[in-house]
Amino acid sequence: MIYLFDGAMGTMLQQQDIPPGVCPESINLTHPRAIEQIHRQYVTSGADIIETNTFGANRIKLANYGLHNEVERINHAAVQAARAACGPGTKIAGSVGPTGKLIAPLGDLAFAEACDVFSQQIKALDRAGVDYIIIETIIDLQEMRAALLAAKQQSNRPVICQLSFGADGRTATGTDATTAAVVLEAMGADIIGANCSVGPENMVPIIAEFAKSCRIPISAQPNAGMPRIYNGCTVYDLGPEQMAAWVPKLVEAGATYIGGCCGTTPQHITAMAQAKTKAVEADRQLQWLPNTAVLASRSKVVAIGAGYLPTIIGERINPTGKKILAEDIRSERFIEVKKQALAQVKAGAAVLDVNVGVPSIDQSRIMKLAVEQLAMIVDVPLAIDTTSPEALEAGLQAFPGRALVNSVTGETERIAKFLPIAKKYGAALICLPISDQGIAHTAEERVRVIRQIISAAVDYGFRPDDLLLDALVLTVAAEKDAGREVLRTLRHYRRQFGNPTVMGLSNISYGLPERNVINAAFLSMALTSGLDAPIINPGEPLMAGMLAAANVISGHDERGAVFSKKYAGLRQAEQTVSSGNDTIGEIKQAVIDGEKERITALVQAALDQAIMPQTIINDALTSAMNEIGELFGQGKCFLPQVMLSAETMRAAFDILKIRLPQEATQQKTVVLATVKGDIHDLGKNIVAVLLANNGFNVVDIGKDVPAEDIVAAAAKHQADIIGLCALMTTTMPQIDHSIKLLKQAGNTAQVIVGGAVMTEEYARQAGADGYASDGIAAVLLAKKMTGDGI
Amino acid sequence: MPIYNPIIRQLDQAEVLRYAGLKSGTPFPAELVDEACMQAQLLVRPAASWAVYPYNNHDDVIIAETAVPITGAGIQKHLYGAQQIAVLAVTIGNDLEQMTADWFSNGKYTLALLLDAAGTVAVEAAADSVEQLLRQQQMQHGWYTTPRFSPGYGGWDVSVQPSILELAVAHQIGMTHTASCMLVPRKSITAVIGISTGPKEGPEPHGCLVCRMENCRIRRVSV
Repeated sequence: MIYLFDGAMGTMLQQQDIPPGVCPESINLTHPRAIEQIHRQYVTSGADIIETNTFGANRIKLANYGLHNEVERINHAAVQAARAACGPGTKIAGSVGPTGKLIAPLGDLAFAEACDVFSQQIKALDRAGVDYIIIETIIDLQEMRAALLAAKQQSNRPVICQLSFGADGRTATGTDATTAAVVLEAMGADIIGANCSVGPENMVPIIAEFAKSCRIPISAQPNAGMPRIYNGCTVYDLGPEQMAAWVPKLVEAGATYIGGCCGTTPQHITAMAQAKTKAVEADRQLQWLPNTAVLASRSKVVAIGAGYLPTIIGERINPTGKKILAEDIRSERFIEVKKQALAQVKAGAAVLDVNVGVPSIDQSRIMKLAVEQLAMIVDVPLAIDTTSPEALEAGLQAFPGRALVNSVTGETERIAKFLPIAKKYGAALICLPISDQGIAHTAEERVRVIRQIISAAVDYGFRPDDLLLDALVLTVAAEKDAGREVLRTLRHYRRQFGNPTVMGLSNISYGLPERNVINAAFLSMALTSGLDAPIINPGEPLMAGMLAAANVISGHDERGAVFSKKYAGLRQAEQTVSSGNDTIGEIKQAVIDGEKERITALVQAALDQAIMPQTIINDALTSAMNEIGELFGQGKCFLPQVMLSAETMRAAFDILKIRLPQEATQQKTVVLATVKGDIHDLGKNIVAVLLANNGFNVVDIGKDVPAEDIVAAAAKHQADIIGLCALMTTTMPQIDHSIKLLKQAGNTAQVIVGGAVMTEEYARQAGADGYASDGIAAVLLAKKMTGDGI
Repeated sequence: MPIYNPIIRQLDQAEVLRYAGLKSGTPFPAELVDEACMQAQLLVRPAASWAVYPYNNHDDVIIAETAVPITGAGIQKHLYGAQQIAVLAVTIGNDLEQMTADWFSNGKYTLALLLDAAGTVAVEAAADSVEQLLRQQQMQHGWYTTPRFSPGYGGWDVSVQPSILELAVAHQIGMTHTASCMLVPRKSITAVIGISTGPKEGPEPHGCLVCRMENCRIRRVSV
């Protein structure tokens, strides 16, 4: 059965002589007959479901018109107007649009506040007697989650969730149709769909993607083509027949609820009502194999099950026994947490376990903050790892996707507290075979407890493939059969349930030396016994290697292509430090090539060969810097390479300095400053590094330096050269001013100027002695002015 | 006024190297770029704020409580035909800048240079996200948007910065300016986007094409 929605309300209101600037929803109160009239036209045209004129009737949007206290009245009046227009069998969908704000941390609206705003409107619509709640034109998955949660709490009516996608198939904040389907179906959406933004042509692939990503019905309400402005009004390109021609295609793609958004008129709906009689419903099939658990982040999904590559769940975000991480969590900085997240994802983790269990902290607050930060920086689903129901709820609420709960046991209290929260937020569950009687030790006992957990979860409305079964790893050093029972359990799970399996491995080796070796062997055996999602440290080379190799052997990594890419050519011949023939030449080349790791040994080798430090400086280091300068000038070498060489040279100097404290020659002094008003100092810092490397005594007096301070510093340090830098046109006059004051003070030091906007001509007019376009030029100029510097 | 903290997941490493001054295709140790980019990801706190105003395109004036005239041929041409102007402010905060300074003073010159470049790439990416969101929002109602155009480029004097920050309500994301009209935090962008009823003919020149710094070391070769 295909159901037909109505068309646009806004477009129709524009034709009703409503003065501009009036709140469209206030018309429900001021001109209810006009609204009723529009609804009636759609009912006459053949609409099965009409939408109330309440798209912006939430208190945030209404506040723009000073109507934030009228939410109940406006929504009630809108439903009345719709009801008055209904024919026999016409249904009413209460329209709920976006707040216009983004949910934190993407925006400044708190999730709880968003829920409350939606709850107020949905409650009013529900009480006024709508048949459906339709949440529509939402561009952010997290806002949709807040609205859906509110709808499920305030109403028993079916909820339709419609997002608005761009031409790239994603919402403005990056969610694709597959991800949206997974997240919203799990949270209890009754119908999922798309509306607005794109015309029907671009909507067809989005509907097709929905169709293979969920089991619930799908709605499609495109605009009547793309909008454009004509005579000050927004108009749409597709006429009624053109729009109707897309109806069979949208139905064929999987939609069974069809309608129109902006630009769709009663004439369009008449034509679409005709077209729907010829449409043939799609035969839908899920894109995943049976017994697959699908998790989601904001913008992608992860499928876990026997038919897929093993999924790595990264275990590192867990402060147990990690002081730095614990402090990072306690201080709410989350730098280490984020570092661990990035490193694990880079190493191949597809899901990240998040445990913030630091003693005496507010775990729910910290969990919320950590999850918010992680969701901004990585694009993988999270597993919320906690024993606190409050922290669990905080984490699941904050995560804009479908998370995993780590974990639920068969304990009566855990079942009663965790399952309702997990269900509310549509999470998947890790089921651990622990019951009120304690840990289940044998495979048979574990199967029995898991059966109880599955049965309880199904009673709470979970589907079997929402449940990942944990084989429960104990310590083999304490219990000799621990490993064997896990492997037997995995095989039982696979045979008796077929659900995806999961477990943390490292417990097995507790108390033993070379734990990595035990863990890696265990991983290999567990994979063979049916483990789908190991919880490990993916950065541990042995584990990573074992997993990569297992993927080749099991045929997941076809012909070892991934493996080869990762491991081929990894072992290179160790470079010898020095051939001993031309150590000076090698030092010079190492500086030019920026081989910082090699330079210390090379300089040491030269000293061992009784080469004088001054010879090393002159013939290797200075000579290298000269060559780099030339290469830079010729455009054959670039700033990052110059910096690398500078670091290498500094490392060499550091050794030589110890050897020649007395031999240090008279250095020329350069005072460097970025002028007053200018806070950009990267360029000046680079010049300082290069001058120091070339034997100058550099006194860097910083950025935003007043002319008076430059004069004072130049006198104090008896500067031979003064380097001044300005980056902006607004600060360039400070160069003139500083030079003027220097001259007035009788300072005879040479002045070099530079900076992004500086020119040779400006420098001359300002009275400078030289202009340097870059750091290398500054060094050359300084050397020229001082007769080499050193 | 809308606030949006865009997500920056991946920094374009080729762009980081370009901003650091490396010519495209020059070999460079990948681990250094990786480390700078990872640090940047840890340190950036992208935030954006914007507001849309009517535009008098006859007299080139943004109509607001205090009207802001648009001066400079390049920007006037860019906004020609616009009926509304979106004024935006974007920053990645101060932490990255602090780390750059720390690394420089600890002798990690190369990483400092790369981190600074990564900050530039990050703030540009954040501004791209905001621009894209604005474009999608406007297109939904049939409006077309120009690419963003920032003070200080194409002859548009930076002295307009204080007015632009005020129009963008930038104080709500912690952005200010110095007396010399530099943005604080340093890794920040302000810009305007013209909103009009139809697309302009041909792509609007922007970026390096409108910049007068002809000897800029990171100027794209293709320009």
